[in-house]
Amino acid sequence: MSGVRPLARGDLEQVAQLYELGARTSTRKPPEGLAAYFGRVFLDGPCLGPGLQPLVHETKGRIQGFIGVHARRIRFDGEPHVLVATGPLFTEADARLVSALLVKAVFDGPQLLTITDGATIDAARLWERSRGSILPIGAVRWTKTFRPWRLASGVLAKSRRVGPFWRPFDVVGRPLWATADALTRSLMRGAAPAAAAELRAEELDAARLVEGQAALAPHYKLRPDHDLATCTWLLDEMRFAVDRGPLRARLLRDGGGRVAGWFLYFAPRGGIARVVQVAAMPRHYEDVLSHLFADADAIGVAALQGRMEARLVAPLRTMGVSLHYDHSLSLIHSRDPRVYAAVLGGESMLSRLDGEWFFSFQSLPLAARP
Amino acid sequence: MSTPETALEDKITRILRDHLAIDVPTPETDLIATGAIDSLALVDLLVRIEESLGIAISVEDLDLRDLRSVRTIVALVSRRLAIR
Repeated sequence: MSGVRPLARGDLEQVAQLYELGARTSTRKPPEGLAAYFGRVFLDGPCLGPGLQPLVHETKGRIQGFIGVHARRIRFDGEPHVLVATGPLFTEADARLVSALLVKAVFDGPQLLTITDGATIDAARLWERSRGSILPIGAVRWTKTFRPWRLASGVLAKSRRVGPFWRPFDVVGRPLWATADALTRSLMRGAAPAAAAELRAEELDAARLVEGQAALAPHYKLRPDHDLATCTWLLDEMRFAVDRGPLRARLLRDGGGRVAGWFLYFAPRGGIARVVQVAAMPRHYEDVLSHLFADADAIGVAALQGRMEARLVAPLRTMGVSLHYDHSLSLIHSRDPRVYAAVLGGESMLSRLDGEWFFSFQSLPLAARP
Repeated sequence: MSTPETALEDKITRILRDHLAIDVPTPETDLIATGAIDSLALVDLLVRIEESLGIAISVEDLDLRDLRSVRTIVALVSRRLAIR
């Protein structure tokens, strides 16, 4: 038998071996737990039915390629649709053509929209040939810096070239960076951000995420439509990705108890925190961002980074962030040009929460996770 | 007089030449073994065939052997046209 078909549980060991070979250690010996993690993410999570499943390409019993498919409920112009986030995509080195078949098979599915968040330039070219596009704004990353010396030392410690030499200084120098940061912050305007006083924060759980989605629904043409089970699963999976740091999730309400917005981010203490989602009522974006910045600052992160989204451009303009190109690309494919217009025009509430970005197939040790 | 198969051969050869810059010496030339077609060209070819002939080529019942040469691609497309 040869061809593309849905992933089955019996494929997991081979899929993990192939991923280990192509994306991690260049061996066929995946760590304990990697095959199970593929099963957890792709077979045990929410499934929306035929044509919306992860795919493999098999030749004579041998798995030659895999593409992850995460199907999510969305609404576009009030109508129910499905979004597919794809990734990872990997193949045997001698079967690169298989990647084309896997990508086309996904695009042929019943979904309105296909996205991926962490694409390489090779994947982007494959998408473009399949009539997909690079999302220009998704190639921009914003950074809000709270502790510049700590940030600089951390960046050096992670550098491939300088890192091995710098790491001991990064550890022993922490008191020095803290002093330097305190001095610098006293001189930096906006380094210690104040949260908008009229909003109050509470823990964001799955039920409140559903409530928030419903509250913001009238303001966005394209938006997620996750049910309680999916929100629960998404929050659980983000908490499982412990290598990114603890998940911080807060809902914000105005004085009348109405939802103003919420934020989700990974917050490694002293490191670079990464935003999964910031959502807000249009009039509350700056207030919600101010709470996000104050929260991240209060728990001691060096900086906060997020992917630029059209609806964040205006509110971030005056909030002291710097912009950079991101190494990974956001890609989009839809047969409906109105979908592109909604995403590019700030009428979309989609974020990294709806993509595959926060899953962490790369990190070790998987077996030691809670 | 050209048969439907030769007309299809011409069309696919033109797509390969004009859009993908791939010159195919004969309809039997092995596009995969000769390295003439890579994954980018393959997906582009499939999409262009679908667009120009108004058919859907479902990957799920497709084998890479169906895409090995212009001749095998013509056979594949003929089957799809027959069930349209």
